[in-house]
Amino acid sequence: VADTLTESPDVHRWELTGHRVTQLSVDSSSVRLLSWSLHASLDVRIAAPFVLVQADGERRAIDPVASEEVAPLLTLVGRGMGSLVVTRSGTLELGFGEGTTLECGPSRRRDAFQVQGGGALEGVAYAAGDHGTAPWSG
Amino acid sequence: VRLNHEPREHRVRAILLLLSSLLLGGCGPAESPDAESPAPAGADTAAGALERRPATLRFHGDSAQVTVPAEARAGEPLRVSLTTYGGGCTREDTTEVRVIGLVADVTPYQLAPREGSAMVCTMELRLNRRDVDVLFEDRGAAMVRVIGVSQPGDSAMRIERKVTVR
Repeated sequence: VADTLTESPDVHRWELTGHRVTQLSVDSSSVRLLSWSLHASLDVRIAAPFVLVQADGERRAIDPVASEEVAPLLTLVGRGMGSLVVTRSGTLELGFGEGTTLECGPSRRRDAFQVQGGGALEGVAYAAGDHGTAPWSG
Repeated sequence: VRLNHEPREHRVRAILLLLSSLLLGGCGPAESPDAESPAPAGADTAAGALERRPATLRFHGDSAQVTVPAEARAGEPLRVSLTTYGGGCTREDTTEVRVIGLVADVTPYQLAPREGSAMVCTMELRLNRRDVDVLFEDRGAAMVRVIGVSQPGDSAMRIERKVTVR
C-alpha cells in the first residue's frame, strides 16, 4: 500500500504506510530520526525545541541542544512512523505508532527542521524557512 | 531515447508498437489533447500495453498547478485548471468530475504503459494542462479535491482548494 499526500495551500499531510524508525542520532545541536527500508527512506532532523506527546497524554518538552533531555526519544526506535504534517507557518508534526506524536513549532532557530525523502519518497523535502517562508518550495 | 534491454521478440514487438503509436499520433504536440479530443475511457491503442490510471500530479517534489477561483455562484460553472505530468508514452485521458454536496472530486486520468511493458518511450517530461467545469448547486464553504498520484513511489495524492459558494 502506498503513502498518501494531501496538499492544500497551508498544509502538507503525509499518511505513511510501512515506515518505521530505524535509527536515532544525537549530536550537540540536533536529533535525527531515520526511517529506512529497501523501498523508501525518510530522514527527519530537528534542531529546535519540540514536544514529545506520549500515548498517555504526557508532554515532554525537549531541546536538542540539551542532550540529557532526549532520552525519551529512545522509545521511538522500532516504532512505526504513520504521519508527517508540515504547515506553511513552519510547524512539523510526526505521528508514531500507539498515539505518540512529536510536535515542533515555529522557531527562530536556524534550520529548525529538515525532512528529506529517498526511494519511493524521493522529492519529499521540507526545511523550516526563515521569517514566515513556507517549508516547501514552489 | 531509452531502449529497454529485452529479448529479440520483445524488441521487435516494441518497434512495432512504437511505429503504430507514431502512426496514431503519439508524437503530436506537447499540449494536452484532453480538453478537445480525449481518448475514450479505457482506450488501449497499443494492443494492451497502456492502462488507464489516475494522472501524475506531483513529480519529484514538484506539485501540479491547480487554479480554483476563491468564490463561485451556486448553479454556475466554476472553471478549474490543473496540470498533470506526462511523458514519452504517457498520454492524457479523460477527467472525471463528481460533486456531492459541497465537495467536488476532480480525477484526471492518463494512459500509461503497463508495468513490464516492452514499449519504447522517449525520456521527456510533459506538463499538460486541463480545464474542467465544476457545478455546485448548494451555497456554503465548498472544497475542490484534485485526485491523482505522486511519483516516484506511486503515492496517492489529493490537492485541496477551498471555495466559497454564494
